[in-house]
Amino acid sequence: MGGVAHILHTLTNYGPAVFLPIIMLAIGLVLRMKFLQAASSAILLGVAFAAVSLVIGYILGVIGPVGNQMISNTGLHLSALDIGWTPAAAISWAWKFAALGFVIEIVVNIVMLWAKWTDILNVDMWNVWHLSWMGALITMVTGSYVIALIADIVWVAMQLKIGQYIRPRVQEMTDLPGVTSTHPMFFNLLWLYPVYLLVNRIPGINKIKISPQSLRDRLGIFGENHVLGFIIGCLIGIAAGDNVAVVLQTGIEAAAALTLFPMVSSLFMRALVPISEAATEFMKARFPGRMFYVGLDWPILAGVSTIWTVSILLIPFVLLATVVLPGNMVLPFGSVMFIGGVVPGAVLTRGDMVKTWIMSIIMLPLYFYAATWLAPLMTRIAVSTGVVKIPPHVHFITWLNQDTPGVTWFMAQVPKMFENGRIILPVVLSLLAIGLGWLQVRYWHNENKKSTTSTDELKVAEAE
Amino acid sequence: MPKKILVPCGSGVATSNMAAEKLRKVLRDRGIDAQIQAVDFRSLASLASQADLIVSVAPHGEAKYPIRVINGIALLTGVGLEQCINEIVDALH
Repeated sequence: MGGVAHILHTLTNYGPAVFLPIIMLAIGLVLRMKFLQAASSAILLGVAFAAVSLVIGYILGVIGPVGNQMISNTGLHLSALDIGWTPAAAISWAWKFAALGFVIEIVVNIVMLWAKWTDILNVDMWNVWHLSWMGALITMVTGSYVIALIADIVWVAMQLKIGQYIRPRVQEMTDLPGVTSTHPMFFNLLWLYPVYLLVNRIPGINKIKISPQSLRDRLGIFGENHVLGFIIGCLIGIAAGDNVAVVLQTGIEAAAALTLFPMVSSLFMRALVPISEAATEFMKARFPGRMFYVGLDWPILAGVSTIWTVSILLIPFVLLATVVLPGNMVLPFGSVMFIGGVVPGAVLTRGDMVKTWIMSIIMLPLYFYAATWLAPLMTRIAVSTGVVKIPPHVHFITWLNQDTPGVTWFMAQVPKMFENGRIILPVVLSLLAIGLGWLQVRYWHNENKKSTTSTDELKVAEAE
Repeated sequence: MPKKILVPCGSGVATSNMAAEKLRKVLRDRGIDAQIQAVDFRSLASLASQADLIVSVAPHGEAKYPIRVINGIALLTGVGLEQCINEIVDALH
């Protein structure tokens, strides 16, 4: 073991752009990929790291100084720059135990299928980065790898369980039989459900019917990355008190940053596709002839117009919250589209635009405070993994639209409270979480009994 | 001039690239030359006019596009993949 630890230690010193490709090459070979194909993917993965580092550096260089100027000009203490989920994913992949995420995902899924606790085969290997994200975060907060491992196992089990509960609703909304989404953003249903019950009590709420599609056609342009980036960049420039030329310059540079992010991040996916396919085949081969529902990433729901319309209609409220929420440190930039909260809301309301919108507005403070909490942690992780070099004019980086703000905070802070010898608060919080879980299970149980699609035959996911 | 296929998802990062890579592989295996691009849904409306076909993993959208949209969920699940590829090949011709 000492030898392995020594090799790992030496490799991590080379930095993530070298370390992870080597690990992935090894995993690829274990999963019987051809050497040249595995090597090509591994190099592409290194390229993805280098490219993401480059773009993050660009963003911090562009927005950092303007943000500082804005702080002194307005007196708003927005010292944590939101750089969105793509850097979070890159940072996660760079964590030294990131590759273990695949092992945890696959083993927990196989055990749960074997024990008949789930009928879902999760083939969405992209979102394995969340396991690494949680792992890095929890070990940083609690100092314990054991707690991180337990949290990750619970995480995968929750993904499969919630994916199974929402499956009939996903089919109802997409007409896709045999699939569901196992994305962790659906953990947000836990706290969205009580809010949903509350919103349902607003007098007359059920009489408002607005078609999200017509609005989407008109507002859609504001959701395009470069347009959104330009607007946000200009607003930050104006708040910094710059002249017209500098404001427009900042706008274009911000637009460039938001346009480049998905481009460079997609390199990660292209590098991980072969590994992902190999992992899926590996799992399928363990259960010949077994019927599965296939667990996928959330975009299978992206045809629901409410998601896009509400995300755009939410932006003014995001900007308002930035200014009015006491104690907020987050300067929104990279994740102004609140997909992660809006998609589960749309699933709960069956795509009702007005209800999803109100629910999302009510829950905005949670995101801001979770991101304020996250800022020093994410900054430390980013620096320690070597993905990001923080320039001196930037205080913190953070991720405003975290996919699971509540669950992330809970999984990191509650064990920490126990560690610190506190009893009452963490016990109360745990009971609250159990209560929310119970409400959730009861809701889907009742809904799925009514549903006509739940009796559908299971589709066979045949091995290719 | 190879035909241009757009494969959209939420961010143009994950799911779309997964499906696009798969599509690239199966079309190459069949000797079909096509330019396949992973995009995000928000820019789909602007890009659709310059492409020949959309292969989407999120059907049931009410949005209308000037070119044909084919359900490509099979690229992710592997269920009914043959049929899906045949449909795409037919549409390209």
